[in-house]
Amino acid sequence: MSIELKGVHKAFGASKVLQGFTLDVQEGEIVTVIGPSGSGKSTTLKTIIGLLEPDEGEVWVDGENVHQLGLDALYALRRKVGYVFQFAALFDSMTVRENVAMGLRRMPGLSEAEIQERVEDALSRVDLEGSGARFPAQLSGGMKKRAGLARAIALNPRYLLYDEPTTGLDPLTVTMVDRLILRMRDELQVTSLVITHDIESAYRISDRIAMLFEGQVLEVGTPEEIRSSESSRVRAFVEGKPELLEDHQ
Amino acid sequence: MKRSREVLVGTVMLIGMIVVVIGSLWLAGSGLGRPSYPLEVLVADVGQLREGNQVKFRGVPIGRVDRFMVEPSGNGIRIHVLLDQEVPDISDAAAVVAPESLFGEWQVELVSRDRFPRFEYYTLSPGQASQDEPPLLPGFTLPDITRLTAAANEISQNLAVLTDRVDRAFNDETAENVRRAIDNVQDVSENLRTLVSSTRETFDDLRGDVSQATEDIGAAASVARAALERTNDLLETGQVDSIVTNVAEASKDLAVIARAVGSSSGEMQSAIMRMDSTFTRIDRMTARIESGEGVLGQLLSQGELLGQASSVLVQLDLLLADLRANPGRYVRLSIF
Amino acid sequence: MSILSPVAWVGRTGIRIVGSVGQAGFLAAGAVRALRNVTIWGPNLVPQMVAVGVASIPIALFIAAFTGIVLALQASYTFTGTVPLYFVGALVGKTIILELGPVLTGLALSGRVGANIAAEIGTMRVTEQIDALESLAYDPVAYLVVPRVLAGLVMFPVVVVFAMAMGIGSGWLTSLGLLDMSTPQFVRGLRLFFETFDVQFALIKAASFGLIVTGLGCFYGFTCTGGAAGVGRSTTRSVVVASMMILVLDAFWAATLLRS
Repeated sequence: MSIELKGVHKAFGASKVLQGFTLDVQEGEIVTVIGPSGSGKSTTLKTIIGLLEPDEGEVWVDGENVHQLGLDALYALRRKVGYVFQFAALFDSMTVRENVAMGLRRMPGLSEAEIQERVEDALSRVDLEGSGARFPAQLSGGMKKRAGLARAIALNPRYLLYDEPTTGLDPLTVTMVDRLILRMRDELQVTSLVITHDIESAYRISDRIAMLFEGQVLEVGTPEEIRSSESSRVRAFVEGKPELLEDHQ
Repeated sequence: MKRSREVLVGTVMLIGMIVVVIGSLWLAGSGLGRPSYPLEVLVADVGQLREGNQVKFRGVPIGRVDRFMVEPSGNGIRIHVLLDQEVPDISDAAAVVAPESLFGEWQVELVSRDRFPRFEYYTLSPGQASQDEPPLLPGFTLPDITRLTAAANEISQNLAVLTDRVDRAFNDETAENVRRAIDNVQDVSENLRTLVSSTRETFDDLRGDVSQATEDIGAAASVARAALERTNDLLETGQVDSIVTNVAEASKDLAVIARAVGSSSGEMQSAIMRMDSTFTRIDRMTARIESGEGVLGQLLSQGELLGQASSVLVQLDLLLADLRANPGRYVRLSIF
Repeated sequence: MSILSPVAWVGRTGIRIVGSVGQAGFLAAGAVRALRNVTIWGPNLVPQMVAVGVASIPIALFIAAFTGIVLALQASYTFTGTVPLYFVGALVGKTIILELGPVLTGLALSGRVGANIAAEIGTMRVTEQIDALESLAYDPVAYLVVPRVLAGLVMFPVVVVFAMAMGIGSGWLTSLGLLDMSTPQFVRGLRLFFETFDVQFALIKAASFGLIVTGLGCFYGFTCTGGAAGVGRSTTRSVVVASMMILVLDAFWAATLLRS
C-alpha cells in the first residue's frame, strides 16, 4: 500500500503548476519533495487527498484511485491520511484539544472518553500536554505547528502528508519536528510524504528525496544520491547557488 | 453551555412564534377565547363591507363581521357577524350597512326599523324564512357617498328634463290656445246674448228657425264647456307657474349640490343650507305631484319620473341627514 | 487598448457573472446534498442560530425602535389637519409589517451576519482551515454552510418578528407621548388595514432574506482568495450584493405575492 502519482498535470488558469508529476511512496517510507517555492509542492499534497482534481494523470492512495472515488469513499480515505498544514490551519474558534478531537469525532464508534484519551495521547506526543485548553491565537508558531501535527496523528493515520513542517521554526523545534516525523514512521509504520524547501531537514529524515522543478520530478534518490547529484539544477537548489541555474536559462 | 444555548434559541423562537400568533389574532380583531354570539343579516348587497368590519349598536362596537354567504337563491347575501355580547333586545330589529366615514370603514349598525322607516330592508319572503339558529335580521345597505353624488346628479338631470317638458307644455302656443278658448267663450256668450235678445225680438218671426238655433247653441255650449274645462284645470291647480319655477330652481340647486359634494369645496355649509331649503321645496312639490293633480302630475306619471324622483329623494334624505350629523367628514373629504 | 476594449470588458464581466452564478449554484447544490450529513451540521446549528439570530436581536430592535418613532412622527406631520390622527397607527403598522421591518432588518443583518460569515469563512479559506476540514473528513459545506444558511432561514423571521413588535411598540409610545393620541386611537388605526397575510408576507420575505444573506456570505467566504485583502474584498462584496439582492427580492415578493 502506497501513494502513487502518475503523470499528474494541474494548471491554475494560465500557470501550469504540475506538468507530468510522477512519484511513488512505498509503505513505511519517508519521501521528501524538495523544490523552489511555487513549484507546485503544496498542490501535489492537495491532489493526493482529493482537495484538488488533477487535469490529467492519476493519483493512487492505499490502492484506490483518489479521483474516481465517490464522496463517502473519499472521506473514508481521508480518515487514513493525516495532513499537516504549512501554517497548521488550526480552527481558531476552538481550543487545541477541540482541534485535535475534530478528526476523531468523524471516526465511527469512538466514545467521548476514548476521544479524550487519544487527544491527550496525541498532545503528549508533540509535547503539548499542558496547552490543550488554549486557543490557537495564544500559541507560538512552533506550538501551532505541533498542534497541527497532533491533530493529524490523533487519527492514527497510515499516511502522513507534511506541508513545510519545519518552515519558520527555530532550530530546536525543527529538530523536534524531524524526530517526530521519524518516530511516526518507526513506531506506527506511517508512510510519509514531506514537502519542504528545508534541505537540511530533508537530508535528516528522508529515505528518498524527490527534486521537483517546473512541475516535474527532476531526480529521485537517497539523500546521498541527491547530495552527489550531477544535475546543475539539483545542485543549484541543494547548495543554494542560483548561478548554477543560469546556465540553463 | 451547550444546553443553555439551546434554551436561549428555543426561548427566542417561542417568543417569536407567540408574538406572531397572538399579535396577528389581536390585530385581526379576533376574540381570542372570548365567547361570541352569532347573528346574521340579510342584505341585497354588502357594498364595501369586509370581513373584520365592526358591528355597532347605538355607536358602540359590539362585534365584527365574520364572513359572507351568498344566499343559495342568489338573491342576496347573508352576513355572518359575531357579537361580543348577547344580541341586544331591539324591537323590530334591522341592520343598516353603511360607511362609518369616507375612508372605507364600513360597519353594520343594529337599529330599530322605525329609526329609518324609509329604508327598504331586505327580508326573506315568508316561504324562504327558515328557523336558523343565529337570529336573522333584515338589512339595508346604504349607497356609497359616490353613488349618492351620482344619484343627486341624476335627479337634477331628471328635474331639468321635467322642467323642460313643463316649459314646452306651457309655451306660447298653449297660452294662445287658452286665450283663444277664453275668447271663444266670450264670443259664444256674446253670440248667445245677441241670439237671446234677437230671439226675444224676433221670437215669433224666427220660430221656424228655432230648431236650427238650438243646434247652434248646443254646438257653442260644447265648445265653451271644453274650453272652460281646460282653463279650469289650469286655473284650479293655480300654482302652475310657481311649480314650474320651483322645479327649475330645485334642479339648479341640486346640480350645485351635486357639484359641491362631488368636486369639493369649502362652501359645504351653505350647500347644506341650500339643500335644506331645496328639500322642503321638493318635498312640498312632490306631495302635490304624487297626488297626481294637474298637468304636471300627469306629465310626471307619464314619464315615470315620479318613481325615480322619490327613490332618489330617500337617498338625498340620508345624505342630508349624514351631512347634518357629520359635516366635518365632508369638509375633510373636500380637502383631499 | 483598442476600440474593442469596452466590448471586451462587457464580455469579461458577463463571463465573470455567469461564472459566479455557476459557482453559487454549485455551492447551493452542495449545500442541498450536504443536508443529509446531519451529524456534521447538527452540532453547529444551535451556535449558529445564536450567532445569526439571537445575537442580532439587539441591533434589529434598535433599528426598529427608531423606525417606529420616525414613522409615527412623520405620519402625524403629513396627516395634520387633513386625515384623522388615528391613521398614524395604520401607517406605522402597515409600513413596519410589510416593508420596513423585514427590509431594514435584512439590510442591517446583511452587514452584521453576512459580513461576519464572509469574513469568517474567507479567513478559514485563506488560512487553509477549510482544507483542514476536508482533510479531517468533514464536508466543509455541511460543516460551515448548512448550519449558517439554516440558521438564517429560521432565525431571520424570528428576528423580524421582534423588530416588528418593537417598531409598532415604539410607534405606539411615540403616538401616546408626543402626538397626544390615545391607545384606542392608535390601535384602531393599527387594526384598520391589518391583514393576517401581511405577517405571512413579511415572514416569507424575512426567510428569503435570511437565505440570501447567509448564502451569499458563505459563497463569498468560500470563493475568497488572496489573503487578508481577499477576505476584505469578499466581505465587502458579500454585503453589497446581499443588500442589493434584498431589495431585488423585496420587489420580487411584492410583485408575486401582493398582486392578486
